[in-house]
Amino acid sequence: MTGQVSSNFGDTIVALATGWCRQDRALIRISGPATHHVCGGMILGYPTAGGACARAKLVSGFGSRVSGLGARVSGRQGRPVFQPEPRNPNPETRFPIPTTILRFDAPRSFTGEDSAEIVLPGNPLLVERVIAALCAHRGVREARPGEFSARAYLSGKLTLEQAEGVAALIASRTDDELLAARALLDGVTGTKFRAWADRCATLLALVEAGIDFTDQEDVVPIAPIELLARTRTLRGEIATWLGSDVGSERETGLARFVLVGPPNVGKSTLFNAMLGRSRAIVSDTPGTTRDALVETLELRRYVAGAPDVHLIDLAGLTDDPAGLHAIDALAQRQAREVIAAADGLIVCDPVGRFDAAMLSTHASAVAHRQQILRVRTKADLPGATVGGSTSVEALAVCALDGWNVATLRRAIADAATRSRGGSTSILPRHRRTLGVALSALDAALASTSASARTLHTPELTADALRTALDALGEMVGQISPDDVIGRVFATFCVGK
Amino acid sequence: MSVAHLDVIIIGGGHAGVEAAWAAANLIPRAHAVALVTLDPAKIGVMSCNPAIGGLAKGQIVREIDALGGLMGLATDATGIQFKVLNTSKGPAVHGPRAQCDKHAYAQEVQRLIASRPEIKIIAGSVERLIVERGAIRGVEIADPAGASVLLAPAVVLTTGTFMRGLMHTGEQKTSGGRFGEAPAVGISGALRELGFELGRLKTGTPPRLKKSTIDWDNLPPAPGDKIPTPFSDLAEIAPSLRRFPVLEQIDCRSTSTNQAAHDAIRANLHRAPMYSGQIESVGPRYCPSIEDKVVRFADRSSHGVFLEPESLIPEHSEWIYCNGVSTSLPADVQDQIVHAMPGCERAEILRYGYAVEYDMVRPHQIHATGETKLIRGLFLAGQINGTSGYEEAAAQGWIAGVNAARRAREQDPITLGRDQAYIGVLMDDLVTKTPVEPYRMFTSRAEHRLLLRSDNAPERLTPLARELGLLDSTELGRLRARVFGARTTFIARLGDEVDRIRIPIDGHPTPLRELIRRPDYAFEQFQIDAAPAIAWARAGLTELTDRAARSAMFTLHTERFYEPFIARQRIEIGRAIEMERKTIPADFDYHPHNALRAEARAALARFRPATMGQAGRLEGVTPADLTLLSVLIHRHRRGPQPAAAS
Repeated sequence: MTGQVSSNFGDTIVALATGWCRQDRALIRISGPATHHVCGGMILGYPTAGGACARAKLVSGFGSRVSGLGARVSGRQGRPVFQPEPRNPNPETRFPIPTTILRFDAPRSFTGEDSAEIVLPGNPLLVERVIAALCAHRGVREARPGEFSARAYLSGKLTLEQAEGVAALIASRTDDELLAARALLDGVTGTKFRAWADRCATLLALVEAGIDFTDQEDVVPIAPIELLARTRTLRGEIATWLGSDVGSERETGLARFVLVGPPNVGKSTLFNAMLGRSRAIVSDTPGTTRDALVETLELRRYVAGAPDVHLIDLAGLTDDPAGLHAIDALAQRQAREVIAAADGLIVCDPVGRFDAAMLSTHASAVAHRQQILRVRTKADLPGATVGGSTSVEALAVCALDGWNVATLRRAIADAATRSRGGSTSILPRHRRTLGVALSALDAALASTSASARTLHTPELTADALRTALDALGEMVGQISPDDVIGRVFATFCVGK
Repeated sequence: MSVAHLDVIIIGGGHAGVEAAWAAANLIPRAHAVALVTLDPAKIGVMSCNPAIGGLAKGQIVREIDALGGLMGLATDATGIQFKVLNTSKGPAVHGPRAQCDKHAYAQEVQRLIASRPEIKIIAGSVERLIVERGAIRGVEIADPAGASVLLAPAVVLTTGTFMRGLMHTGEQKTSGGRFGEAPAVGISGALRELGFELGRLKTGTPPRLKKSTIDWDNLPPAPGDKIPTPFSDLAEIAPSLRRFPVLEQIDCRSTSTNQAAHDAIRANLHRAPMYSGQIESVGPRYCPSIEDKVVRFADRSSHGVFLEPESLIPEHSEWIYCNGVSTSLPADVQDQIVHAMPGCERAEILRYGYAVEYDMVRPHQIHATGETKLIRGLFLAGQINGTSGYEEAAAQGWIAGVNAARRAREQDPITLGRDQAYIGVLMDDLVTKTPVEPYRMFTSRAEHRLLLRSDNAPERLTPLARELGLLDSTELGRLRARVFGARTTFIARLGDEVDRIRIPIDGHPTPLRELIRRPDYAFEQFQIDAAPAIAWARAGLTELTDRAARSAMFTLHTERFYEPFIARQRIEIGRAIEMERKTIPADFDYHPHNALRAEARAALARFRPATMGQAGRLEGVTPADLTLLSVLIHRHRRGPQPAAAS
């Protein structure tokens, strides 16, 4: 029964076999009739028959987006420097990605179909782009949970006994995914997505009311100019939110903690002490640090079960922009952007006053439910306790002798755990879905003429809004046509 | 006790019943193959409520029924007294043809069409018992004034409308019955319950009817129809009964409105309204609220529009005016106050007071998308019994049940329509995958492939299917339809090829007509001018094609080109979904032992028992991951008896 099975499925499925978190290597699996055709077109050195090629190169199918990887690969110790980069204006730019590729021919594969495994560097953003590029081909889509195992079973590659295990596996994966999705969408992010879906549903209801209830004298269809304004606002908010995320290191899935405070309070010293090695250049000259430095703080090495986080060292903030050089001004602006996108702030102040003026610099940050840790740096200096004005509860740390550095690590671990369920990173899949919603909203705008008194083709506008709503619904739960009709009934007095 | 053998028995002579009988007769061309059992044969095809057919989404359904060789479009065109296409200022996908009919002429026309079919035997009586053996229907037991009789058939279609334990309310007054002056059907509810069906109860309402000569008719603002009426049937101006179209004189309606005085009277008497006093507990439709509902829910409005619609031009019925917009079950004295407060109706006499009616229905998760019940082989349900409302929705289900009942009788496989194929498909799929909270009415927004499901292309979507099923073979009307459709198809194919070659100079640049059509400001009228030579060429020799038919075919071609990019995208989506629709789930699949399925998914699957993976995916509470797991479980089930799954 193996032979006919692959044709039964039709679709070719793609999935990341390794997790979305940061890893050295990522493994992408692809299975189905289109596998060899698609991979052959994207991978230089793709084997012509079953087998492996360790020096293959992923060369095409990315367009301009690969260049938008965001983190500039800097020469300095080869680590990515945190600096949002504008999209490369030249879409022809490609750079080959070294990969190891394994090709399997039907029926001699895990699924019994033609399939392949692509091993590539574990940059989540790269992985996301490659999966998107694969799925852009006709007949290729992302796999549903457990679908590879299901295909393996259905093509007779697994025995009945194993199938029982497959069922359990799929079920448990499903639960994991549901839990993960729920946790991910709790809190600020979830509320935001739900609010967008809700507004999109309301817009759709207003358009549908003008289609399905025009025989009702009480229904006044939405005016194009109002629809345009409201759609634009919604679109703008999603785009801004997406834009703030594109190019950041948020995709790695690690929470980001930023050291902030005025210049020369010893942030870089603390940075090095936390990492346990000398990473940032330290001097007594204020403003030594200009670029943002990003390092992974492997908290699990110090605190059992703790998540790893990104620790970021920034240029110190000053409230006196007048005296800055142009290059410093740039560094300051960049620092503020990084702060706005962080999950947690480690606020450093050697005096321990943490005065309102300094914290107000981060007012927007607080609104995003960032975790705030207050650290009294330079605890060894005598001036530190002057006046006993430490009215704010803070942790005194001396980076030079390591006093309380371990305690700070534990505090970061707690904060990172707290922030996990909140406004931490979204899955790349979710960002892709938001992208779909964005282009659908664009289509809705394109189908609406501002100068018209009524919508001439509301069915096309509705079609686009429905697509946008379905995309948003993938994250917060689908909103059915019945729900939309319900909104019409709640808004208008319908019924003759 | 007399015993008669038939192929198909239809219970009920409403819009579902007659469409079912008509379709079954088309498929089994043998005298008295089909029995149409009804309480009162004179009431066959009666419009119980508003005297109109079609409208938004409903008009598309009537076009589909016509394309499938049904009778609703024929009867409407023959008896329409005002035709109007709604939404013409919007894209063609949402145009909704509507006609107001002479309701007495309509019933007479339906009765004439039914009587013209020797295959259909009309039997007066009420069904007392369903005869079921080993899970399959064998026939029904009928009580009629002359005594009991038994009808035997392998397929029975139940269309009880509002008659199953019907109870009418006007204020505090309650009367048993499914329609004014008519007795309810009482035996059948109990019979269904005994067989194990889960019943529900719904409510609907109807407004008062006024006496025309007591209304200041001529001084009220007129509400006219279209200057050039558009028919529903592709056989308009072709079928013998529609040689001339419109057949009847076209009339204007009148509009008036409720006012503060009427609303005050309603508020003062709310405690006497059955919906508010607790006398009625069943659910009515949100889209068709009573005037008391409107006043309560939209308290800030001081006026609601009302249309006064003549029910008939026939002299003895021409005084009857349908008061569209004031559906109510308030007591008679309050109805008088409401009506007399409306401009032009100060002295109006109410010929019949409005009322609400409660009735039993069978919860539709118990039927397949074919109309057949899951519990009893050969027993089909159609119309309001499945929790829908509306003549058109009822007729649509009648068609599908009639076709499948005939196929069951002939031991052929059942058929269904896809969501991408017809509103009828959307309707049936919604019924079997959703839990209705109110009487179900079709809206265009329920159809995800709305751009494809248009009234203009109903023939392209469905007439080939009708031909394939054999619905057009047995009657002259059917063969006529097949010929007309053939001419239309040839014309569209020829014209399409030509049109795609035409270039029109725009600002000195020759622009393909195909692209021009997509511009929003390019009108159909301009298309007819720009393509005139091609049209003349394509029409040559097609004597079957009337001017009207040619124009309608051109409109379809124009519309297809207009939506081309959007339709192409929808077709890709359909292609993706079709895999799931083709994967069937065994009818005997037991969900309970499979603990691996999440409890919520298991409960939904066990209740709805979806026929395909596509249906399963549309159930609330079933996720894509559940579907993957289900496909594994089903595959294992198919491979034969297994040791009990983990439990």
